Amino acid sequence: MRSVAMLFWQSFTGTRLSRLLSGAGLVLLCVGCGTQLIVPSWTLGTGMNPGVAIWVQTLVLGAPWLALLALFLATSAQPRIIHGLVFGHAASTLPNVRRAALLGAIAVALAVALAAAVPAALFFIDYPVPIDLRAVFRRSFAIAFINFGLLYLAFWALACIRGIWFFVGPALILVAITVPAEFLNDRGPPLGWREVAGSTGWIAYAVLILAGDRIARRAARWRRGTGRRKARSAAPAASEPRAAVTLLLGADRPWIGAIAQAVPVAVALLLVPERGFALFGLVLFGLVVLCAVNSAQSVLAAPRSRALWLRTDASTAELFRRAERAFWAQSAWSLGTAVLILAGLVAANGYPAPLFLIGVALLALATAAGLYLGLSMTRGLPPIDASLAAAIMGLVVAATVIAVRHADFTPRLLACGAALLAAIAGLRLLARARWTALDWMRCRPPERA
Amino acid sequence: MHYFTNAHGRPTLFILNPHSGIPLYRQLQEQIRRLAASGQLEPGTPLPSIRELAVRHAINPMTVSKVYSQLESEGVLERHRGKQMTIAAKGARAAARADPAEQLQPHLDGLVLAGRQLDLSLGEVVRTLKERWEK
Amino acid sequence: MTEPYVVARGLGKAFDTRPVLENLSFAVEPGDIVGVLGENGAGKTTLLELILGYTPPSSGTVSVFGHESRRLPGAEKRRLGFVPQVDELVGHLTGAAHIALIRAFYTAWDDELVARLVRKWGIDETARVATMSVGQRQKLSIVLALGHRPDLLLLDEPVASLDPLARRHFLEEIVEIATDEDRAVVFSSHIVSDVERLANRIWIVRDGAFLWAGDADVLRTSVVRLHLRGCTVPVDRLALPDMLRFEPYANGCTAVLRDWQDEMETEIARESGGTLELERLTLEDIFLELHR
Repeated sequence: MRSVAMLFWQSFTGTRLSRLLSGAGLVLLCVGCGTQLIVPSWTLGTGMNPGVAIWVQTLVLGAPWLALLALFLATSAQPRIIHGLVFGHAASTLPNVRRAALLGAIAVALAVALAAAVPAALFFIDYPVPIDLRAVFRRSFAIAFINFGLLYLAFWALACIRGIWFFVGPALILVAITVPAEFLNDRGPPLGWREVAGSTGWIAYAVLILAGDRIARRAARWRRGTGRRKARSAAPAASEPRAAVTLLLGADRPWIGAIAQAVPVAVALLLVPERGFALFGLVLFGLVVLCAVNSAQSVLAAPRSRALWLRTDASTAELFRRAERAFWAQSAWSLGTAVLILAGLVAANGYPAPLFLIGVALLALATAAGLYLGLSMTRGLPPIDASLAAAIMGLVVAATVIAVRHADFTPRLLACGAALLAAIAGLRLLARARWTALDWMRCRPPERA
Repeated sequence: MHYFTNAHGRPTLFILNPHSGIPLYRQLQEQIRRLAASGQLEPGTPLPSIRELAVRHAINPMTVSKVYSQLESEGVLERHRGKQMTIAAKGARAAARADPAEQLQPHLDGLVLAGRQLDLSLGEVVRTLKERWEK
Repeated sequence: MTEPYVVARGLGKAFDTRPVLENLSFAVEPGDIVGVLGENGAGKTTLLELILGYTPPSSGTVSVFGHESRRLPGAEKRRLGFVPQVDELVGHLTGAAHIALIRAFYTAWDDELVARLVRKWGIDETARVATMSVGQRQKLSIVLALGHRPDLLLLDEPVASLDPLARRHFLEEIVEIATDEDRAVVFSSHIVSDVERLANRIWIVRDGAFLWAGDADVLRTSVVRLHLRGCTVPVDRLALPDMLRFEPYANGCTAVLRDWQDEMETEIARESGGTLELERLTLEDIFLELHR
């Protein structure tokens, strides 16, 4: 089917960036697999110059991993293409579009899963202990395929940035990372309940493709019918200025953040078989990321502030202060929920108090970082801003990892914390400066998809 | 042969104004009849194809087709070699069967009415007409 | 005599309990250009979406190419084209990538036509759709709908975002399509002059029902403005049928009539004892008068 082939091709090469990533990924894959075949990584260190051996080992182990990352990122926009084909009027004119979209999604995931499984199997070639390469390949392939279902679903959710979907994405990413980590160690039967649970990702993806449009329209009609929208828009915007500000800026539904915090954690607790401190570390990691993402909703404030600017005589600097206040109020809910969950875990397991304090500090720092990052993004998302965001989030993650590793106020942890505080202060200054010179033409449009 | 230039600056045989009260098919019909009766379009002159005329003026090809059929049945136009419409040999006579002066009547009615409403004398109307004609 | 492309009987659509369209019956024959006029919210988009099969009717039936519009098989979908009011393009793809993507769904695609239109309309194929202006995106949407040479083309306010030159080019393309007697076009527009020059059938939708559905020529000759002068009979005693507007003054009146027949002229002149002047109206005037 030409349409499936074209969809497959466009997923890898639709934009210049994805072409670059796909090309790099393929090259790295070949290099990694090639060197593995010629010089198996586990032979390194025997009869080879140690300096060279380290480099070759890094290449052999790192290259396929980078290749996978590159290929996966190249296709990360595919859900948006599928959304464009399957939602809206195109579905009524393009022949067999839903079928083609589903097949295209599966084909792409199969290809990327292949790129994960082949190096994994090749790693054990000519291993001293005989290992069934085919079994390794099958298992890696299955895990990767299931995982990608969840991850593409997450990307789709991220593409529909509207209210709750803002969290569904990162939440799914978290689940996708933590759950399959267990698969690799599991020597159990090939089709355990966890594989089935993971497959729900693909089932949800397929349902979205085949019937998502209809479901969304029915849901919209139901929402209209129950008059919930009417009730909200009849809010006393004129009488209460602060409520008006919150409504216009989009910070008026804080409880969604709280729910979006609790649900993925509950799911992780259910599915992940780890217990004890490892579980705690995982939950803390998840809570930190979710706090940051939740408060990063403030990125919606800049484009929305134009409506506020037209209706009040506030300057953009004043608008910045109002937005800051509104989003702190909103983030307080998810922060509070996270702190409660943390308290519960600490109390239930009898962990020492400093651990709790560290956890709370991390959560607060993550929330602040996310909030001010969001407020700083007033010019769309150019590469430099994206790099800044990645760096700050990296710092947050690093701090969490160190905290979990040492579970005490070590110098390294304190240094990380101080760096984060400084970064947050800097971000606030940056955000304020950018808001003073706000140019709405360069903001991203407030609603997408 | 007098070519008018249309809004795009391209020579065109007809001026069609969709915004006047007169339906487009009637405008086209009258213009072809007028040009044939006065001899400005000689017998044998080919007219643009339906598609060409429709596209150039951005009007419905059915309108053009209707006008051509109507004029063909009146004898003003004849079909040449299957598709091409040309002015018929006796086309001038067929068109003039409706006396040219007769064809001016509806326009004259409008002129008379307007003149009366504006309270002008016949002399003033004739003077204004003369100026316009000479332009 | 070929079958009509679209047949609707008693078509109605209601959202929850609110009716949008009620009891519409119509047919679209091959070779028709149908212009759909109506106020905002009259139901034009819903009408087009019902024909497209995008939404199911609440009552009545609508069939396209002989099949129920909701269950149009894939092979028949190739004969259908639709341009939505707001473009639904994938933002991060370039124009060329988008065309290639849509092209892959069709077995018969006119590359030459698409290339000619892209050139003529000045669409920058190498630019990402998200960076294109609204007009450019609308033009691209139109090109994507024309590429597979559909037999039935449905357009929802296709020229709303186009500048006058682009609009003129678009009208010329529609005329080109219309010269092929096997193809039909249904388009809704606020620009009444476009409908005036192109459409051979006009549907005027008001409050979910057809205010008028028929030949454009008949509409143009049916709704006229009448000027009566020098009446010997008191004006308000005249029985003028189907009046949309009536303005009397000394010894005369101006009236807009809805169902004018040429035979009525002598009758009215005789009855009133005055002189009659008939004024033809533009389609826009007719639309406004019908909506009073």
